[in-house]
Amino acid sequence: MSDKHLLSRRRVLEYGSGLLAIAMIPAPAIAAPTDADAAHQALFGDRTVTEGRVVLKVPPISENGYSVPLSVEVDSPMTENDHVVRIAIFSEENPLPDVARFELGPRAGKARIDTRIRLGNTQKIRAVAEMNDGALYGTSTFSIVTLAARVL
Amino acid sequence: MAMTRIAAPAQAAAGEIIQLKVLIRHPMETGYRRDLYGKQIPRDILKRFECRYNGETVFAAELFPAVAADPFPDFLYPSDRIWRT
Repeated sequence: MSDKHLLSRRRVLEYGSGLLAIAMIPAPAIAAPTDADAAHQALFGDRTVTEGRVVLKVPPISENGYSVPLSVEVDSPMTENDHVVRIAIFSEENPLPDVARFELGPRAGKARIDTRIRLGNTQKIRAVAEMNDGALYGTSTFSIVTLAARVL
Repeated sequence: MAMTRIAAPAQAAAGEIIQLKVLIRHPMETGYRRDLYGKQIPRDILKRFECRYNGETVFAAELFPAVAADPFPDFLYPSDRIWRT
């Protein structure tokens, strides 16, 4: 094609539609740690969270962000008078800050849950446990994600 | 429909803590992904899982979509529960 036709009608249409297509891809939703804070606040309000009693296990290096084993355990006797009511998992960098919420009761023999989650980025994962007396305990772990889950 | 498999010990003494493993085959599609043609794949998420014992909810999980709450897009392993029979 000669120089004269560099900006031919066809070319303009080709490139133009390409640009339009790029413009139409929505900006990826990226959460910031503040979103995790907001999610936490929506669920637990302003109550203070004490560090400890919760053990959150996520591999320090997650090779596959699509499937990251996660294990939470709360040190609690799980009796009628002293048990875990709820455990919430938050992510700081996923498009949505909520990961999962678990509801437990005294009938659960142990406050332990294993599951698998998706991680969209190298990030900190938080776990917060609510006791039946309203006390909150929490912890967080960092995980480096080699292959991020394509959640966008 | 999601296919579910529950693994529980065949026998358990009263008061014994047993481990329940639930495996749900579900894509847990985030709704953010696109197919080969750039069309958005609709969101398909299991939102709630409940385990009842004699009508009483023993364990429940609320699962979130795009986030991450699940295993491989193929199946979900929501809880690896330990409970008291």
